[in-house]
Amino acid sequence: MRLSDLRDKKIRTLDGETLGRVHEVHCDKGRIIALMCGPGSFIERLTARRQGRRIPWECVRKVERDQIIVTPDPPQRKVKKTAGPRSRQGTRRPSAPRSKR
Amino acid sequence: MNPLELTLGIMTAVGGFVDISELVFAAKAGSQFGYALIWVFALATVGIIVFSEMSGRVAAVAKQPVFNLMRHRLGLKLGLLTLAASVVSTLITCAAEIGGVALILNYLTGAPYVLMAIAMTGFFIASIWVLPFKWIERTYGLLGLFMIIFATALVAINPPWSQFAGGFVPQVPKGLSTKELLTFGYFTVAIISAVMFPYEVYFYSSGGIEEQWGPKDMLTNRLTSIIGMGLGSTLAIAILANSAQLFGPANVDPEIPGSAALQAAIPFGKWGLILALLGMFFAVAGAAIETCMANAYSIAQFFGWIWGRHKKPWEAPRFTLTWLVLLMLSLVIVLTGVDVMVLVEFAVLFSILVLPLTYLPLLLLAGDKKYMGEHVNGLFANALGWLYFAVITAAAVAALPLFILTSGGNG
Amino acid sequence: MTPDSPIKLVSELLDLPLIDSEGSFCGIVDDVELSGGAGKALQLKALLVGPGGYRGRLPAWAFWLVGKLAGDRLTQVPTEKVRTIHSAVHLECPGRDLGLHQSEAAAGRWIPRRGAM
Repeated sequence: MRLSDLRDKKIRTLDGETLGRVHEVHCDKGRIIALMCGPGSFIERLTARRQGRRIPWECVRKVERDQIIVTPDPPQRKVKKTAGPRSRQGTRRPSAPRSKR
Repeated sequence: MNPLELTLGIMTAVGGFVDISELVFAAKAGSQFGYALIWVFALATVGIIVFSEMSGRVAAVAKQPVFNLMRHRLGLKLGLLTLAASVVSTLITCAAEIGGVALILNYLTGAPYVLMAIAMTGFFIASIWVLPFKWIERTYGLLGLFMIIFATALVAINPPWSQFAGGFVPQVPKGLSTKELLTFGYFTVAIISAVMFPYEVYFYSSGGIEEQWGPKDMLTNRLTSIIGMGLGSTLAIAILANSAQLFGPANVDPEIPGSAALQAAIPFGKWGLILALLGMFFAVAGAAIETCMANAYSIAQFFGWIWGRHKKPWEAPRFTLTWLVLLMLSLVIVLTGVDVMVLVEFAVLFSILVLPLTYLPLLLLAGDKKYMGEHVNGLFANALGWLYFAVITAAAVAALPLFILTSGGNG
Repeated sequence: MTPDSPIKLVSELLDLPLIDSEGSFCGIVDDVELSGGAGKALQLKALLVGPGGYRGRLPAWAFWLVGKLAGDRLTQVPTEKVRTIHSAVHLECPGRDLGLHQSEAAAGRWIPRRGAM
């Protein structure tokens, strides 16, 4: 199997629901761990940012010629954008001694 | 930083700034609209400085030339489309430069145009084959400094300096008819394209890798882009202003590239004419080599071949065959008899259409901290970069309709 | 980054240039070979280099055209030969050991070896 066999393929559940197209494949320690699907594939590629719906590889049931079949209810976790300094909101944690100016 | 190297680099950028398209459009713009288009040259110059500096910085830090980034960021399909469009536009530009050089030699020596085109193509092949990269760049760039005669001619004819200075203020002349307004719009787009030709960025970034730039060369990169291209732009503006002062009032339309040389002949006589033609010859010849090499760089980088003139021709065989074939193809275009001015028009049109796809991946990568580390785009560079991206996108959208409506700027 | 690090195959590996241990460019990552399948582990096996790697990435007519112009040669670079991945894929060995310089060698027969400074 090649990466091109996964990329841009439609992801469908066994129930027939279309979840989007694969625009990213996540790999760790040499193993494929997840597919990313959803809109914004061109933007994702251009900006290399994480967006869309994550489908763990364990949920993939079948890879066909033009679609990938996954379990009916794969985890709904949407990956947020890369966290920056502003992502922490709400109560501030106890701070270290402030620098004297 | 070696001051001599830096000075030579800047002077090379100055002498290598003007090519046949800038020559033609500056002269025509001046004769038709006076000083009113100077601000467009200034605006476009800042744009090419911004993107050249970015491409040099990316070359020095990420060690990646522009076309490698383009393929990685745009993907194969869109990257191939951009490559094809870029190769076509740069090939036409190269043909225009070869035709321009042949014309200039025809003026200088009286020798037949076709013979000069063939002879110069052979000479370019020999130059690129024999000389290492730095010598190629420096020889033509420094000899292009003969173009300073145009700036000297401007001072000698003593134009109305207040009007000249007023030309730097963004404006649209009052009282233009609809047709003239559209022609003004076309010239605006054409000048932006001619100054911001994508091949310049491909050549500059590849040159940075040829010269093995690293993070220590940031200042060299910045100074070369800003001072070199800034000063180079003054030569193009001088051609426009000379044309405004000498050709406009006399209703002379500088239809052929050689007309620009008369700008130096009027104040300085025969020697002014000879120096102007020599300056034009070396500037346009340098541009012919640059466009050919830029195309070869693009193709080799896109497909991951060994490339570079810092290697001997047989050490980068596919790259060598590519630039040889491209030069021959450009010559074939010239030998079909198509007018040099038509080639220039199409070169400018095709290039502006490719510009947004060329600059977008560069802008994104130069702003990516993962690749650029501490040399990532600051707020100012990012703001300027995105502003110019908006400008060139608007110009790309307007280019084809304006070209059709104005019959290529002929009204 | 190494092949064992967390990596996004499309935006961080695909279409990167390959540079061998001698510093020479030796192609672009045109596709990635995976071993395994649905319902079992899927492993990164090799990088695919060459116009043959365009097969799944271009429409059929475009791939046919590429095949006519550049052939359909494909070289597999095992992931064990990859040292690091960043703005390029750096290999642990010379490209010729992996069969990556064959086209350059073929083109080199057309180039005379004299005259250059």
